[in-house]
Amino acid sequence: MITLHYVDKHYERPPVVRVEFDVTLHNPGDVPRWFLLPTHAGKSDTFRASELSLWALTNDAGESLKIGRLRGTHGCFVLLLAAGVTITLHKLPIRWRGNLPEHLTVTAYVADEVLLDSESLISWFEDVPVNAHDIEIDVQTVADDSQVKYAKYTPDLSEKTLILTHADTLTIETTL
Amino acid sequence: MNPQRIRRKPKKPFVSKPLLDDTTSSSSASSTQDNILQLQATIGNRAVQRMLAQGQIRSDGTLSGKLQRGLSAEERAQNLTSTRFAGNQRLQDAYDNNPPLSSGSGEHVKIIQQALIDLGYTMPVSTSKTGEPDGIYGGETRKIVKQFQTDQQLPDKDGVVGRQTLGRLDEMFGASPPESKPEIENTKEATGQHIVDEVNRANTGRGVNAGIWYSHNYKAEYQTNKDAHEWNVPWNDDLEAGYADPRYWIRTGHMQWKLKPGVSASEGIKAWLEGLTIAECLTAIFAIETDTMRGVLGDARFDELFGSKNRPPQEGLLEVGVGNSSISNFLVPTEGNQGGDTGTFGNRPAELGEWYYFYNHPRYLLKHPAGAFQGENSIYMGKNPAQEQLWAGLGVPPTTEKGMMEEMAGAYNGDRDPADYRSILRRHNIKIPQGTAESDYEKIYMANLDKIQDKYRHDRGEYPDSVTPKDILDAPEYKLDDTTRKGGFVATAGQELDLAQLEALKK
Repeated sequence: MITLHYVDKHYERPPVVRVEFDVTLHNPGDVPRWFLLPTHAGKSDTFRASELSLWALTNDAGESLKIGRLRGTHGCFVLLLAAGVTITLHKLPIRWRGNLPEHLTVTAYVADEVLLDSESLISWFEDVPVNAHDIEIDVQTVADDSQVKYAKYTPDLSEKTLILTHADTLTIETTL
Repeated sequence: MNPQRIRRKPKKPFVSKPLLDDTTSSSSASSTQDNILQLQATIGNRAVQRMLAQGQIRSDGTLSGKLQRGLSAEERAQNLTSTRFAGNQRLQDAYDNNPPLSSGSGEHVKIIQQALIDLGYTMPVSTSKTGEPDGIYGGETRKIVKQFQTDQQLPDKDGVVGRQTLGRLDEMFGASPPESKPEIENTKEATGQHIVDEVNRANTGRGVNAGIWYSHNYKAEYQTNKDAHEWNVPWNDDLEAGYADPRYWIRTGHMQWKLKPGVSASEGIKAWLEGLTIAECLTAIFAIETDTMRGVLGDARFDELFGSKNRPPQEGLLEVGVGNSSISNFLVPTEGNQGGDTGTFGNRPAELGEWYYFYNHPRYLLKHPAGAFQGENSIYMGKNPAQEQLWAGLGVPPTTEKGMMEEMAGAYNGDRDPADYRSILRRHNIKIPQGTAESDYEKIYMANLDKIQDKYRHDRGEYPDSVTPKDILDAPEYKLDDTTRKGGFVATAGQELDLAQLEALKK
């Protein structure tokens, strides 16, 4: 359902390294599902967040894609894929703290439902349609916040643990 | 005829005709052997052997500068042109190598000394009596002349003032400064946008031979890059103290640079930002502010103030660094700083390009005494389409205040690294045996745990093991080493360029 291929790396404030991957996501089921990929590799498996940020991206063909990011001490990118959909994300940034290993393990999840602060994630997007359809797109701009189109926070910025239902855990080892 | 030309007595050249001056030595057709043979044919083998032994002939067979007396009639007709030198007969003679200056005393030496001082060289011995140059061509003068020759990449670095050296000095002090063309409008919006653009550029990778690098990153890349042997600047531990283009900069301390005398300050600051430069976040922002000043004033005016190929710097040679930066004199507190209003989280009283600071958790330095991320010098980058305020620093791409706090929480929550353990051991006077691998510093810390102050011990609960962004903001202030820290935005750190002062300097 998920493949990652290393593309490039960029050094940030030491010891953080931003690693870019070409990522393919495929939803083989017959219902929309949430795909969650960590913003930082090597942290605990439990996502915690206090904010949702949203990017609205467009490729050269004029096709658009919405990518959410749940931000916290262990955050993740979130995409909702319609049934049967395959999308390819070029240069998705995943950060790593420390010296880069030769092989990086990324733990991702695919779930029917995601709750943040006891609310369905779809309600966090309010009326923004996020259901992704087949697309190939460069997502490098999600490496920083300058193009965030929409943001919503938990009350008092307190971090909440994400609750996933009917989730598949995917452990993906990549060679850098 | 040049009205400044001074009639001189006919001179007797040292040799009867021009032998191998710099013109001939630069000819690719002249081999070393040919040069030596030509000399032998002209003045005899014995004389050549003696002159080689005395260093009067260079290894490639060309004459050293002090012996370049054989000037053509056309060259002899050329005189010094700058008002500083042209009126002095002895300097005119030295310009014609008749003879060059290498000793003695007098007004002519004083003029040379003053010219070197005006270019930014220091001569404490020669000025020790009255503060003015003493006019004595002694060891210090010889040394500074050599340094000047080296900096100017003259063929001879012999400490002797002859045709080449005096010619270069005359050129530097004689030329009229070009008209200054400002690149940036002197407004808050334009200067702020330039700062924002330069911060973004500093965070854009430009390969291993360019850009601004943290030493940690440069070292890490060097150690893993298969093409590292081809890098222009191979890694060595000295680079931990910083690196900037040596054609323009002299490193005078840890992350501290001073412009070389006789080079352009505007070219220097551009080179610093273009890289390869190895620095850290504070210095990078100083450099960006400096470049913004350059853009407002124009290169020529900036050079007049901070270092030029042809003028003594009015404000002293440009400095960039953690300890001293010339730009500090041209920064003023922001309105947000002066007003006492810190705003609210995510909504600070900042304007585009203003410089502020964010502290990490107040007890960060207990967990990480090396202080790699005790805070961040941050530039206000404006708002994103979601109307969130954005901040950035070197290695921190534009992010919200919350994002900045998360970066800091991430840094706090990381394990102590060897630099942290080394800092703790040094603070407690615990010796690290020579040759100890960095990875073993932790073992030395553990073996000496009873000697470590409680506040630095991992097992005493003096600092939290991990924090969230909210913890950083909510933690009470904490005093360590005479500094009281409170996590988050520091309004009183707000600085910006003093545009009124820049306007006055443009004239």
